[in-house]
Amino acid sequence: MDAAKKLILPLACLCWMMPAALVRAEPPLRLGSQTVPLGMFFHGSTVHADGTVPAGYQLAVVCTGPTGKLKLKRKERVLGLFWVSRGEVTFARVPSLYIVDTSAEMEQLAPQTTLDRLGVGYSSLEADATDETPRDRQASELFAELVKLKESEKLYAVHQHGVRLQERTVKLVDWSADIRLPAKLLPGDYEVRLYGFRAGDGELLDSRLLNVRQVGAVAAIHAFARKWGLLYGVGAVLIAVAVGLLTGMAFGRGAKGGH
Amino acid sequence: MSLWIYLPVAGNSVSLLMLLGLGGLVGFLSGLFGVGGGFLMTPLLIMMGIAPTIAAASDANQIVAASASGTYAHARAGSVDFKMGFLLLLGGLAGGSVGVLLIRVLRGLGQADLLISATYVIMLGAIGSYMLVDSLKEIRGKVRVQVAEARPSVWARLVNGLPWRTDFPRSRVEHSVLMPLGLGVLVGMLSAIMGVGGGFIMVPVMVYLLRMPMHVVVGTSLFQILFTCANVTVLQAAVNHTVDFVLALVLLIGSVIGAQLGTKVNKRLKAEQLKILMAIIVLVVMAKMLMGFLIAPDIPVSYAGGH
Repeated sequence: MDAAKKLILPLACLCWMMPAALVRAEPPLRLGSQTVPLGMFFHGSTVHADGTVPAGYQLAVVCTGPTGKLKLKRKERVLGLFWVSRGEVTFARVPSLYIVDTSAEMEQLAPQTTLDRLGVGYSSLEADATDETPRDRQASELFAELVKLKESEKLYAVHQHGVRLQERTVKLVDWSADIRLPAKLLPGDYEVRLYGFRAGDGELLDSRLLNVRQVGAVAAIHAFARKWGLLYGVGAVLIAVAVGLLTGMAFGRGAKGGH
Repeated sequence: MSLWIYLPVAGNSVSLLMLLGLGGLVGFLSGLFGVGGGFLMTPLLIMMGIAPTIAAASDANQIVAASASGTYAHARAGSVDFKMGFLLLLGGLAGGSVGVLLIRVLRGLGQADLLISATYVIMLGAIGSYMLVDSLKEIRGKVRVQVAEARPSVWARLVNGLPWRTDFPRSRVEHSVLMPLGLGVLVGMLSAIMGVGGGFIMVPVMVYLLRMPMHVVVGTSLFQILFTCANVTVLQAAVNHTVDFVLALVLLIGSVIGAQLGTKVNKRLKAEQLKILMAIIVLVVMAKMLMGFLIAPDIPVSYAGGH
């Protein structure tokens, strides 16, 4: 009997502690898929993200693509009448993709300086993109145009209230978001970061890598085009000529038969 | 089956049916008028979200198929002047090289884009208007009595005075070999500067300056375009890796069928009707370009690397 009593107490304690232990094991950020395959019939994709965070946070989920230099042609008015391309503009570091989902309006998350420090929102990208070139005064205007261009291709987007919050306990909140990846997606290492904001301050809570990879025939053709460009070009011409001639013969034969 | 296809080199997903339709339309124009159709296809591909360099290079690849199909059909009908086409091609290749160098110099001088664009609009406007007026006159039967033989014009005297005259039996004309070579150089230069295949410049040149019959002009133009675009495809693939074969393949499936239909329609139309339609197309392209220069763009920046 005493032995049973001795067992009951630790078991009860264990049962009481288990949910807390389980919760602690849950990561703040989970991705539904770590890899996005770019197959022949890829047409955009949605990556589900969710997790559990302490109560009281507003959240921002930021998905970024590989960063690199970007050259743009700038159109200007000439002679007060014609719009023509005049010169190129180079941005030093621009992510190929930048999608932000937030649980509240961007202005309600934190002061602009905090958002800029963490890299949340377009203005945080501007400093990084324009620190070298262009060197003229129009840098901000040009960056705004770059954002417009990227938004038109759905490569840049800010979805306010794209993060859904659901209270689990008094101390914990479950969240979820669907990151919408556009049809124009290049392969590379993408990153998903979760930021938490409260009391005017913010912090990085967690981050995960997202692998965007070409697969199957798409990967094979891309690799062939990069590695054996000359052979690829000659092959493309020969196939085009063969298709053209075969179609010509097929139509020619059809025409003969008709008469 | 998915109606979208992901392009490996372009890194973009596009509508399969739209690409097939676009290929068919441009192939039809190619077979009908003997133009490559790049001036129409490349901007439409860019509008679909494909990078300018990849759009232009892949377009050249699909034009190879359409022009091979069209050349075969015209050759069977005996409407390709291979001798003339070969001379124009030689001149075109040399002119293309000169044009590439020239554009580098022009860009270094600053206002090159404005100069090129203005030349383009003026030239297209002049060619299109001349063809339209001339064809309408022919249709109305108001062709002036030919007095050229009695009092040859300055141009005719210049042309007739050139050495190394030879007969082009297929076109039923006699010219100095310098004529097609020189005109090939000129069109090749313009093509390189403007970044287009040059079919819609070459066709009026063959009709009005080389005095070739319209049906032979179309076949000969396609023969020449076949080689020009094959050269561009190989160079772009080897140097810039900008040829998306999947894109080209879908386009060419549409375009080779379109080219055959265009060739059939070409045979049923009279030369004047063809000239009028060609003139309208040239004028539409000119108007589209002019609008592009006059209307303020929504987004005044674009990715660098196109024409």
